[in-house]
Amino acid sequence: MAKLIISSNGMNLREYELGTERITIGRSSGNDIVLNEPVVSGEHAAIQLQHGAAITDLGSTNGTYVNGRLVNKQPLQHDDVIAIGSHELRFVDESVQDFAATVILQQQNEESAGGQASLKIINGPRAGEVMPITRQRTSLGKPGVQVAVIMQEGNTYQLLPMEVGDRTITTRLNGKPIGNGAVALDAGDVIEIADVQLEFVRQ
Amino acid sequence: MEGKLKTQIYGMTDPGMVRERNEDAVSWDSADGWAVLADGMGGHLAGDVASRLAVTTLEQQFRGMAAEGSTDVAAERVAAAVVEANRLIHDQAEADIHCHNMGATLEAALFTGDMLISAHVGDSRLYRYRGEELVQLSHDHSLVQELVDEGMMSREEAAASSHKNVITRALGLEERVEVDLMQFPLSAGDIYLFCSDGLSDKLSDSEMGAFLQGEELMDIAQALVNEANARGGEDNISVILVRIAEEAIQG
Repeated sequence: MAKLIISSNGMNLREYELGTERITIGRSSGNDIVLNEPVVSGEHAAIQLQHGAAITDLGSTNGTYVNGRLVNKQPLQHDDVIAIGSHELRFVDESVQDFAATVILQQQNEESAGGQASLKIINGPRAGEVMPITRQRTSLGKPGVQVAVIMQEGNTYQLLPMEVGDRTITTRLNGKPIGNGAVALDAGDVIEIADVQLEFVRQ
Repeated sequence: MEGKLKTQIYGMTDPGMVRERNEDAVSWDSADGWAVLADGMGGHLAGDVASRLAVTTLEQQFRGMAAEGSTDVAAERVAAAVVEANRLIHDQAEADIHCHNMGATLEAALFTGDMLISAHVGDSRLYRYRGEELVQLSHDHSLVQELVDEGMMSREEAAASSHKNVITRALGLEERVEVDLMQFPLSAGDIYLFCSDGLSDKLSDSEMGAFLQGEELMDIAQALVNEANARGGEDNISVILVRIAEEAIQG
């Protein structure tokens, strides 16, 4: 599985899961990934995934860059950064993700954290209780059983399961077990961790 | 008679077994008594830019520093040197698209008279070996360390986690950086070990401690690097060893 992590000005905007189909990137609404800024051409670039991932510039006015180099057609490797206009699209090939590589969590001003999301407990004796997410990193779960962290970056929230306990039970999101990597949280998502169900609420 | 303390320092950095490039950087000066280690990351080709900028900036600031002034004055100058390194990395990251989002960890120390003044950012580490016991003096700025501090994870779970390389602070990411500045009294016979996560991810504290019983710093450093490589060497590996010895007294 591969995905693109789309960011602008250092802030992660969203992730786009890549399947096996060719996708297009551009300013017009018919593209799979729409980047709405004037320097992006209507149909700017395409990514193909069969026979190895590669990006092709579709004759754009302002060009497509991979790792800072202007390209026409270029194979994509894990962690390559595609730049189109002011947007960056990081290509993540989850099959070759390098777990030894250091990752920096973006820091931000304390005042920008919090106030935008909370967790509502659905079941158990504390059902109905609402806990606002006030920090950039909020840990959930039970030590030795199941632990996950909600990470806030700008206006996006991600749930990252941590490996603790016997790991035979996994954290679930909307009833489905989640793997080892971070998943984006949307309003109304239900997190199930250490027998507690929590609804992710956006203000 | 108590002699004056002096430092013997030896360091090395190795790309490891997997990576083509070495994004770590080290520097030291035995006569002045300082050592700097940085582990760079981010951008695409910029990790080594960030770590080298960190090391060269600290080098310039540290040169000749230990010889003058009180411990407090020296500590202030260490802090100023780190602020300067942060500013230079951040400015270049902003100015050069290739360097976007680059950063570096930092483990730096100045040995002045009978004190160690250290500056720490990120997950590179500083250890002290004294009385056959290795103690970690620095506190990792990492996601798993935060969970250990909160009681949500055990040390063992943190060490085994696939997320152990997620760090929460680095030089150059922001206009300002929060730095851990610490001072420790020195004692003759101490060995201080600086390392990047390429070593501490591969060897436990007690395993590293066993290597420090060796005689020659150069041999110990090489043996540590060899062992990390023998266990896979997935990351760059850096180590600096500082032995505190008493200056021979002329009779």
